[in-house]
Amino acid sequence: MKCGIVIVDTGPLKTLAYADSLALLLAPGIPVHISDMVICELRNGQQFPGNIKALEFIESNMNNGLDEIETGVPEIAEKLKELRVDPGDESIRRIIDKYENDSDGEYALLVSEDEKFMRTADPKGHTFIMTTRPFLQELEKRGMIADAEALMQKAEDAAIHAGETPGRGQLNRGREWNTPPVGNVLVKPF
Amino acid sequence: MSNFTVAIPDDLLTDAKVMAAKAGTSVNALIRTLLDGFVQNESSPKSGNFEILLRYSLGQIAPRKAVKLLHLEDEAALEKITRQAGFPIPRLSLQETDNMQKRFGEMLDKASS
Repeated sequence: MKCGIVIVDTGPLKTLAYADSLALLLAPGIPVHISDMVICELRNGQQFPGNIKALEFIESNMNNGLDEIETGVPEIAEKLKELRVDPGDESIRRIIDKYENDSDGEYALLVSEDEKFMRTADPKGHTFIMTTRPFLQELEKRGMIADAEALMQKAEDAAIHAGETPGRGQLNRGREWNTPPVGNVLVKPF
Repeated sequence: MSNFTVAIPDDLLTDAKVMAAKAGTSVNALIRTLLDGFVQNESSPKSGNFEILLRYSLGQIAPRKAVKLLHLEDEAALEKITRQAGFPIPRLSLQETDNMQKRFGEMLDKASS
């Protein structure tokens, strides 16, 4: 079966970067594709060491087990934002469409840390979704790493030290939360 | 009033002391208040919302179900009130990550065969 890993948000790259384990992406021995939007987002956040490490890894492994998927979204990102469309979401939608309609029989494992995407994505026959944790757990099961959970913890600690704010304990795409309405009758204060 | 010993991680205790000081209270009083709120909510017949949020936060019920039970508009609203209630947003459940891992393993096996 022809299959590849597709990185659809910056989270997995940043997590592995902070865990000093980016090379693990290539460990399964199947092609790794990185969305152009992910590379664009990494470039836009170079104040964080995790982004810089991830970009260096991509550059040094480009066309050597790793390549870029062009969605065309970075070029129209500003226009999408004006239309209140999240460029990251749009790039993922285009990638899923590509694998469903023009994949040449190739299966894609979409790796993301955006758990909301995990719950709302609508993968079809040729696409599967996964977060970094089960990716590492499977590598642990296959004896490629000693302890998946230790790597996740190392990433989280390093990210916090570097000034990142891991969402839900993980390094997902930045999300802003409005202040909850005061006196919401739906909730009793704890 | 009885004394009760509880083990708390050092970092959490330090943070709690800072937060208590900022609020002009003590960690003891803070714990009493939180515990009292928990017991009162749990024992109240009107505590359904609290229980739903707790179970959602623990990953025991799916977000879509919690949204429906709480008559909310969407998951964003659910996450907002979960934070407001002082609960962490749940990670994916163990079953969900196990399924992902299993599927990944199967793909690797098929790719190498």
